[in-house]
Amino acid sequence: MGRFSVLASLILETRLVLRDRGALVTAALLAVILIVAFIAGRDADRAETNALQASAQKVQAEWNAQPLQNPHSAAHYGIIVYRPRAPLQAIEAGTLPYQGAVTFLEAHKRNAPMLSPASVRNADSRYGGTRFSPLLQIAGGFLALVLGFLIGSREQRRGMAPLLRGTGVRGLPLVASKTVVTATLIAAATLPALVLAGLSVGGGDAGLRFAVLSGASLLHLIVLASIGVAAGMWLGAARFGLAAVAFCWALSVMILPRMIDIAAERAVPLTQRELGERIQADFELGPDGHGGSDASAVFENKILADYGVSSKEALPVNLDALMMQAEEEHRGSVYDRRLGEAEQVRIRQDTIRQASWLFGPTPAMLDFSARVAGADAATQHRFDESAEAFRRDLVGRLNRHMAANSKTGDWEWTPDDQYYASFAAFRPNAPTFADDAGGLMPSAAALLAWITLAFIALALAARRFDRSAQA
Amino acid sequence: MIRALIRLDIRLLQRSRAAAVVVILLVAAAALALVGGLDWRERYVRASEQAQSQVAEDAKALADTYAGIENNTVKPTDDTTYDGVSEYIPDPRDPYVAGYYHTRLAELPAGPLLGLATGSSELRATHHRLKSVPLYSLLRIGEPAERVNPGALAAGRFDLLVFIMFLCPLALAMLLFDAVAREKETGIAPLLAGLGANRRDLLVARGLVRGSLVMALALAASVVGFILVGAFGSAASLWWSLGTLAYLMFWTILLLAIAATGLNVIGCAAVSIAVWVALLLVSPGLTERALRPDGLLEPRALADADVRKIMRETTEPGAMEAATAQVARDYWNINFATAPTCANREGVIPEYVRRRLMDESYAAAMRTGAAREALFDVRLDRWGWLSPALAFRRAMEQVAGSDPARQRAFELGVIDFHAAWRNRVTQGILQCERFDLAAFEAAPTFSWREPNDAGTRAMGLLSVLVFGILLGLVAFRKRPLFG
Repeated sequence: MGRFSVLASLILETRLVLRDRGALVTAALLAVILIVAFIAGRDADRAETNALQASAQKVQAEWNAQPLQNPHSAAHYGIIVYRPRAPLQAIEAGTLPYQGAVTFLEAHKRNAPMLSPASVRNADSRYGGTRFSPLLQIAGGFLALVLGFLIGSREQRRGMAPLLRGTGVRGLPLVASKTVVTATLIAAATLPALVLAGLSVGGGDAGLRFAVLSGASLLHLIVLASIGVAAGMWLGAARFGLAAVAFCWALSVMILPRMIDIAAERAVPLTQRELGERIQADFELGPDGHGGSDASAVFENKILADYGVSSKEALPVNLDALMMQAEEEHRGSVYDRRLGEAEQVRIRQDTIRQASWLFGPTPAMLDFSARVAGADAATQHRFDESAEAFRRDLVGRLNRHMAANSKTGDWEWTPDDQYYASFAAFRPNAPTFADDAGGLMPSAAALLAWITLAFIALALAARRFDRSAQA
Repeated sequence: MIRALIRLDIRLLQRSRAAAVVVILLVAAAALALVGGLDWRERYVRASEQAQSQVAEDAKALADTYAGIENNTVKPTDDTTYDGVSEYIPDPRDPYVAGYYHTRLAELPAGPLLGLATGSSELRATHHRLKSVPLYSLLRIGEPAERVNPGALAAGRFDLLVFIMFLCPLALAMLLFDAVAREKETGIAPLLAGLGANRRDLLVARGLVRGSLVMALALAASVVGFILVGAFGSAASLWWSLGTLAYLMFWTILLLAIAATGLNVIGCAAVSIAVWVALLLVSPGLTERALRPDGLLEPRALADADVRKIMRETTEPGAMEAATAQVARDYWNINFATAPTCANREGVIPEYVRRRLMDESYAAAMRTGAAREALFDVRLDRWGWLSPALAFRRAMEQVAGSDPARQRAFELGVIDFHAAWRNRVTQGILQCERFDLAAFEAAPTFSWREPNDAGTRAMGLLSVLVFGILLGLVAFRKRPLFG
């Protein structure tokens, strides 16, 4: 074979794979699956996006055209905001379908987002789903692993390994050619859907995100194909080899991540009731805009002292509005603290959940995919924070406008007719790729570690082949 | 001949390391599946117990207030003479006040086999503390029953249904992919043919032995699950067992059909795995998507907005009078011109009018949303068999009581119960009643009746059986094993 052994092995492997109906049928099936998944995901995304955008437009129009009323009444009646679309939502919806997409903003209270799209879809498959990227990582990854194993184990299984060794084939070119051929087969199956998805990607930095996602996905498939080839070279002669590989994949993708999820929630628990009780207890320590409290009395005395008057009737501003704003600010700080703690719990749980990355590259790739698509829990948190910032600005403006233009006790006062239409609609800044890049690092590092491990496994498999030849 | 082949296959399995690996991994996976499912059942039940204890605390506080009024230690504020400055002590005997202070629990009990199949039970609230205050402030639509890590929620749980649905077919694939091809490749096929075996006999023998092994493991894990959730011997456990057998029989026949295609070992393995991926990871989601009607999200997404619109519009001059006349005519059947003075209480009637309009609007949105989802269910019942795995999953979730239709029925029950409770309070206001503790205890309570719809589960199981029989007709054609 000499110095052309790599090329010769490559040509031989390619011919063998092209003659293998099973491998070709599998690759063709993967290609079809991915194209259909892309089309289905795009349609699902359109339906959801249209529903939320149309609702947002209707709600904003109703806010603008609302009858003239006291600003604090308007703050109580509130407004509803809808989660903006994630940059690559059509191909990777991440955790967003399972988190609330609608937030009702009102005075005094920070409501959690509600109405997760998945909750109204009846059954929604969470093992695969309909979106392109998760299917590529899960279904494509498994097929890459199995094809790698079957191609890697071909000679071992048929007892042809001694023949190959006898013809002077060395381990490294053999392993390399098998890996390249498997990866090429999988990449070829993936390519049509990737091109289709790439053509549909929107503006902004979505193209960059898609390019990064495509590159990482192909690397992930190569890692699994390499592990499959290495496992095939090691375990190919054993009949339990394929079962072991398939079950190891099932363990690493389907079972262990979910068991680790349970462990994470048990290790760092937080229930809705606990959170609610903590928030309520803290509220009671601050001023109350519609009732009495010790803190309200302190605030009233402070305002009277600031204006140098002895009664609230003598104030040049509306104390009720100031009190409500003081309550808003107190409650805002409570929400910031307690929900910040809850977010830290979520982050700690997610850190524990990363333990699943030790058992296979796919959980890390799924995390990477959701983050790079801007569809992870951090995105939801940003939506929640943006909505809260919008609420505080809205309620603050309404309270201050009332305080400055009416007298204490005058709940009948109303602003001029164009006042409510002067409020801008909720349009949070779209997260940039740079915002998300930091969060990608852990899963990217895990993927790189798996690439290294996969190549080490290939090198060991090649050395084993060579040593068995010498023996 | 089949008997001899069965005996031969049993001996082969006893010596097979592949079978040993499969059995060990299946047993371990089944144990983890039970842990995963039961963890959720425990959280579900704990959340329910917490809600019950909260309502019990509310009820005790109410009873204490009544006792205090009776022995004069509590002096409730008289609404008609209240100065708006002194401390306000609510009077629970006043039906208007009662609307705020009397709490009822509406609870969806854990399904008979919750813990074996999580289904949609994580995605929607499963209990509500109800008062006669507006419905929109009580129902948190589309929120999970308990706080769950978003990543974990999106990933779903590993429970016994997932074990049976995904891992048992994978185990069958590992045991059956070379049911015929291995004999051909290793040159044993002519020997077996010479002994009188044909391909059908070999397939049937392998299917019976290896299929039974996996079915036995799945049933054993299910029985442990039934015992742990206290449902052993129930009708649900019987349905579950039948469903498991039908589904695994379908997979056994399907994999034997692939083994019978004449592909080599690698081809059979690749196609078996590809079919596993296509039928389990891909087809359920794609079938759901293809059958999903548009407009599922819109009614609920706008429900709160419509309520706010009513709030704003009824503040316009004259709007409240018109709304009161409409509600009095359409819903209350009362003429305020001739009604007793107490029924015209200032501040109370306009609020109840507004509540009624908001409840009608919100309930209509919820019902419209539920109707859209029911339409989706009908489509899935009619066409879900296109994906046998989807049909099986829906059937088993219904058996377990973790299906979305059950949760939807619960939400509609909550809306009806809230309406009954609100109407009771409203009638009290309009007829100048006073509520004592006994009257409150006699007021309606929420009761849950399990829907009795066996259609989905029967269709699901029937579809996998029909598919299995059709595949069997193809796979078990009598053909020579060799040549």
